[in-house]
Amino acid sequence: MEDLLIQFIQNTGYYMADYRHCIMLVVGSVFIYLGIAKHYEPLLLVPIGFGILVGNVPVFEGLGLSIYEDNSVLHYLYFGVTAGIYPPLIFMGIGALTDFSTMLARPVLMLLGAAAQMGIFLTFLGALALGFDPKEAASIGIIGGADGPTAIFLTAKLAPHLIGPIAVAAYSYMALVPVIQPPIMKLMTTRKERLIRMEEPRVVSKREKIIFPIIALILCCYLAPAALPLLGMLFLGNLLKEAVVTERLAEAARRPIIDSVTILLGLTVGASTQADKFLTPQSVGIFILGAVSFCVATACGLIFAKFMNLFLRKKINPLLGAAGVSAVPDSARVVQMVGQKEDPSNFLLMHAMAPNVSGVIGSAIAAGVLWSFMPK
Amino acid sequence: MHGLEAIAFNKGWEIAFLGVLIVFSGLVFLSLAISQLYKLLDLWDKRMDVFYFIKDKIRSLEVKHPVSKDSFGRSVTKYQPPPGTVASRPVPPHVIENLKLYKMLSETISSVELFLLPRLLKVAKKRGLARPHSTINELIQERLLIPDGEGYFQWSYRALNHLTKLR
Repeated sequence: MEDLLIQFIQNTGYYMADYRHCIMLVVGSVFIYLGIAKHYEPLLLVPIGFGILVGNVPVFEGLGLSIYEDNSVLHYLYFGVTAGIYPPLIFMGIGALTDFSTMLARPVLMLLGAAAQMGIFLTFLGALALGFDPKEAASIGIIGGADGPTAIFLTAKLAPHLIGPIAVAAYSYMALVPVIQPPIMKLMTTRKERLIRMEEPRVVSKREKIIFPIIALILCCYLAPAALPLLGMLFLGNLLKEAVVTERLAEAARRPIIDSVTILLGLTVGASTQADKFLTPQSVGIFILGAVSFCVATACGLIFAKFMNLFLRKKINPLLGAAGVSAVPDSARVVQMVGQKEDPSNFLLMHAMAPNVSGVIGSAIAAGVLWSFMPK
Repeated sequence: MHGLEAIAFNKGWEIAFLGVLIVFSGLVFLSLAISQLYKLLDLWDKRMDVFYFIKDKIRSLEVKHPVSKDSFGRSVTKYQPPPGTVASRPVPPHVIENLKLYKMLSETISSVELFLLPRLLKVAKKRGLARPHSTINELIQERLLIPDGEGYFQWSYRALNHLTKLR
């Protein structure tokens, strides 16, 4: 009986845990706290935080419990991440939720979304310089796009062993957009620039909104075919929304489908961050580079907006450049908030949505380009 | 391998440069396409107006001055109604008022004497004029509006006389 009791105790998590599991439990708890108490991206941080707790319960190898064991439930659910299934489904929901009319009304603002993606490639260079191999460097660089599904999609293809730290880094920085961006925005713009008012956008017809996803799919995916899974689903979702006759499908895409996939993605990505795989010097490097990538992307968008103002007769508010990172709609809200601190009657939110949504397209194209450049 | 050596070895500079170029190009092309989209849709909506405009321009190049005879040798601009017909009766005042109005409308759709009846009807509807079909029918009945035999219509001498009197 004593032997049985000892055997039982040795199989408990309390016995098998070490200090690294404790650290990860704290990390998971912090994520849940930020999501629930602070309302920082709760739909992402709560499932991820709970997944971290799930993934860091020490289990006995061979019983099919761990996410990395072939016959475990978590492993089957994790297949959607590693096979790149969940991110395109999330993009379909994003397309069904997104209104592209501000971008259609003033297409020049799309260039701000393009400029912000320079952060991805600059971080790629930084990661190479730090000794990461090209595929890992590309996966780290995409964090600068501030797009969780895109980061997970590309990492699953190029460096699946880094999905955990990259996904956690990408979603963490997305959640911390209201903290990270404002200081950079204030540093890189003058008060006079922040007070610039944008002119009212023209009214966009229904036909334009319907034709846009079709044209965009053809133009973008013929240029970067590797972006097809993400952009194809994004534009499908948007077409379902704008067509009106397919409102049922659009409703399904933007509610049950995206919510279900978000739960599974968050849970499994969080569970993949097991202490022995996550707490490595490499992960620290990824977090640091991810933060740099995010800051550089924000700065590039702001600088490009100021550059554009050299040539535009009707100046644009350079704060919109910060919305070029594709953290929809948080970075647009941050632009609104920073703009209103200077002038409470200056409403920049709808204008900021234009570079924001073009950043989603830009980051997907960047992911496709990086994937196609990598050796097979 | 670290630093600039690692970047050069892995073709980092080329990848970064091309990557930025491709992303920028893609979004520039897309923004150019979007910026022209509403203009193309507008042109599509006005395609019939454009067609008629081009047709009128072609005709105005062919017809430098009013044609006196058509291809069958019939007089086109000088129309004399036979005595005792509709055209020899006085024109009701309300028809003359409509004549004035529709003559002005015809001048907006054609720079020459000849114009297409469906276009006149379309413009009358657009301007919100009441009962354009029956009004045009009345003008035809009164021989103020006459066909030229080739699908176009024109104002008769009778109509032009009435308009001159009104001035």
